[in-house]
Amino acid sequence: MNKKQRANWPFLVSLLFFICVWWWVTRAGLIDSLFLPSPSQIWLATLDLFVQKEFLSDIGISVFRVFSAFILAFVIAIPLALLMTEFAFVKRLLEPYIDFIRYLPVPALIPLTILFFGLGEGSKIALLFIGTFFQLILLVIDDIYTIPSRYFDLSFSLGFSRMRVRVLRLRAILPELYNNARITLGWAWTYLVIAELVAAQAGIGHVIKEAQRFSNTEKVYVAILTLGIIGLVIDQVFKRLYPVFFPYRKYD
Amino acid sequence: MIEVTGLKKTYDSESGRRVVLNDISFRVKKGEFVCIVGSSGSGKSTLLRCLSGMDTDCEGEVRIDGETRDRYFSQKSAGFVSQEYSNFPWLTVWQNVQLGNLQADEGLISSTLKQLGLFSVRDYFPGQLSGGMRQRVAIARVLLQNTEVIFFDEPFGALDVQTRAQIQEQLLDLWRQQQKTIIFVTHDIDEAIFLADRVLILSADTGALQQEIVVNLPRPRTTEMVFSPAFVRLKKSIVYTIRAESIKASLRKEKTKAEVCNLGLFIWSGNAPWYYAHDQGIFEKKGLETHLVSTDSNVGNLEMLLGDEVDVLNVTLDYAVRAVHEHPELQIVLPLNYSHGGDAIIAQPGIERVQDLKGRKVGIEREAVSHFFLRYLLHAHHLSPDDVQEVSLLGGDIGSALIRGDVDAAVLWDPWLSKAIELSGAKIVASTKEKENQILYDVLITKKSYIRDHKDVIQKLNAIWGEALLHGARFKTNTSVASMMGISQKEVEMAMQKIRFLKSYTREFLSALKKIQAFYFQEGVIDSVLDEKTLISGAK
Repeated sequence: MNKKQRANWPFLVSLLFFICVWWWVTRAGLIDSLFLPSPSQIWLATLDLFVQKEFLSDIGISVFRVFSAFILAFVIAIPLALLMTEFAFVKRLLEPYIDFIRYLPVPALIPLTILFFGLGEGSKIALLFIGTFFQLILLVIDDIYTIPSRYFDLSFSLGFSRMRVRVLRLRAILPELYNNARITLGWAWTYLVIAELVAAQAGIGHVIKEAQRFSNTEKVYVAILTLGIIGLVIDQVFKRLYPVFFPYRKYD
Repeated sequence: MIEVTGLKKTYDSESGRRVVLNDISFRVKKGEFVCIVGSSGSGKSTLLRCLSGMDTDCEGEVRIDGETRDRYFSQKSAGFVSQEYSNFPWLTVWQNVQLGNLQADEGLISSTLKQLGLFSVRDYFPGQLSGGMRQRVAIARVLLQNTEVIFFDEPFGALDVQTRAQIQEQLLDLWRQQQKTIIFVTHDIDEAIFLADRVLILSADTGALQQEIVVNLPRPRTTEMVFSPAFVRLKKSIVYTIRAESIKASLRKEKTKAEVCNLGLFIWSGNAPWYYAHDQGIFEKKGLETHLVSTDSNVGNLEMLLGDEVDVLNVTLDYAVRAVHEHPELQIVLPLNYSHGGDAIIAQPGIERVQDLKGRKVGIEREAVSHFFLRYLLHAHHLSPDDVQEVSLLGGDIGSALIRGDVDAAVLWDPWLSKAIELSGAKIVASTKEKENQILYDVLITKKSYIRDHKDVIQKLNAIWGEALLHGARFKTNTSVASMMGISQKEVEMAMQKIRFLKSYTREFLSALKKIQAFYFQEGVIDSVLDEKTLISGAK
C-alpha cells in the first residue's frame, strides 16, 4: 500500500460502513422506501435514467448552462476589474451598482429573467451570470489590489508601457484568479438548480422536479448524487491542474 | 550627471505634517559610486524613490543628464535593485534577466548569467533560489538593461556576511568594467565605505543631508582594506556622525499642553535627575503635573520661554546671565549642577596648553556653552578671540572634524567628548575638572511673573530636584533615564562622574556668577554688573 492509498482508507472504510448501514436500515424496513430507497432501488433507477431516459443529455445541458454563464462572467469581469482598478473614475461610477446587485438574492430575479429572456437557455444563463459576475468582479478587484508594489516598481524601472503593466497585473493575479474560478463555479451550480427547479424543460434540476412530481424518490437521490459527483470531479480537475499551470507556486 | 536641488518630501499623518526629506541638495558625477547612509527612519529609501522617479510627489528639483527627472524617465529608464528580492516569481531566471533587454541575443544573456554565476540555474524559478542568488538575478537584469544610472536600495541587507562580501566585490568589478553612475542606499557603514567614492549621511532628525564624506581609498578595493587605518578612521568618523545624529533625533521637541508646568530641559546627563524623577513618578508624588520639553539647543529655548511655550527653562549659567541682562523680567530660580570634567578643549598632539592654541583652528558650536568656554579660557590666558581661528560646526560634527584632521582642536562636551577622545587619540588641553575652570553651571530660569503667580510650582520643583538627588546612586544606573536621553547606560554612568549636582547656591556658584559677569563686562557683552538679588530669585 503506498502513501496515497493509505491516506484514502479512512474514507473508503467509512463509505463501505455507510452503505452497509443504509442497506441494513432499508432491508429491515426501519425507514419507508419512499423516504430512503434501498441501494438496489437506487441502482435500478440509475440504470433506468441513463439507459431509458435522456439523463446524459440533461447533464450535458446543465453543464453547458453553467459553463457558458461562467465563461461569460469571466470574460467581462476581468477587463472591467482592470479598468476599475486603473481608473478611479470607472470604479466610482460602477461600484455602487455592483454592490447593489450583489446583495440581491438571485432567485428573486427569476421572474424577470424569464420575462426578458423567455423560457429558453437565455433566462438560465442570464440568471447564472448575474449570480456569479458581481461576486467575481469584486474578488478580481481585491486580487489586483493585493499585488505587491515591488512588481510595479520593477516594471517602472524596466520602462514598461501601460499595456505591458496591464498584462503584468493580469499575470500577477492569475493563480488567485484560478482559485476564484473554482469558487465561483460552485456558486454557479447552486443557482443552476434553483433556475432549473423553477422553470426548465431539461437539465438535472428539471429531472429532480419531475421525479418529485411522480414520487420517484430514488431518481431524486440519483440526480442529487450526480450533482455531487460532477462538483467533486470539476473541483478535483481544478486542483490537480493548479501545479501544472503554476509550477512556481510551490516555491513561494 | 545627477543634480538634486532643494529636494523635500512631507507626509501628512494624523499627528500632523512630517518632514521626511528636508532641503536636500547634492550632485553625483557621471560614473561615480555614491552611498547614502543614515539610521533607520532617516528617509534613505524615500530619497531613492524620489530620485528614481518612482515617487513623483516630492518638491524640489532632480536633474539627470541635464534634463528634468520626469523628462529623463519619459525617454529612458534607470536600473533599480530593491531590498526585497524583486523578480517576477512566474518567470525563470533566464526570463527574468531577459526582461532587462528584450532585444538582447542569447549569447549576451548567457554571458551575463555566467558572469554572475547564474547560468546553471537559468531554468529555475526565483523562489527556488537563495536570497543571494535572487539578488544576483536582479543585478544581472540591471546589467543587461544597460542604463546610465543604477539605484540600489539596501540590496544586500538580508544576506549573510559571506555572501554579501562576495556580491559586493562582484558589483565593484562590474562597476569598474561598465562605469555606471550608482547611487546605493545602505545602513551598513562598512559596505558604504567599501563601495563608495563618496558617502552622504542623512539626518534622522531633520531629514536633511548631514554630511558628505569623500572616500579616498584606492581602487580596486579589497576585503583586506577593511582593516586599514584609513578605512577604520573613515568608519569611526561616520559612526560618530550617525551616533550624534540619533542622539539629536531623540531630542526632538515635544508639543505640550498649557495647563501644566512645562519644564524645558536641555538633553544631557546633567538633567538625569529630572528624567529619573519623571520615570519614578516623583513629580506626581509632589503633586506637580509636569511636561518635560526636551531640546538640544540653547538658542531657540529662550524664545520658548519668552513665548510661554515653556514655563521654566534649563540653561547654562553664562547664558542665564546674558538672558537676565537682556530681559530683566527673567530670574534664576534653581541651581542644578556644574561640569566637573565633562567639558574640555581637546587637541591634536603637539598642543599642550591653552596658549598653544594661538593661530590654530578650533572647532566649536557657536552660541553653545562650548563657545563661551573657549572665549572664557582664552580670556583667562590673556588671549583674544582673534588669536584662534574658530570653525563653526554643529555639536555632533565637531568630533568627526577633529578625527579627520579638519581642525587642530575642538571644544567638546559629553557624550561626544569621551567618544572623540576614544576615537581620535586627542589630548585634553583644558577641562572643567580643574578648579579654576569650573565655570559651567546649569540653572533653571523663569519669568518673575511666573514666580509671583506660581510660588508653589517653584517650591515643588525644588523639592523634586532634592528628592531625586537623594536617589543619586539609583538614577545613575536607571536604564530608562539613559534611553530617554538616547544614549547608553554606560555613557550615562561615565558622564555622571564628570558632573556635580547642587542642592543649593554654593559659595563656588556665586563666585562663578561673579567671574562670568566680570568676563562679559570686560568683553562688552553686558554693560553693567548686577547684584545677586537681581539675578537670583529669593537671594539674600
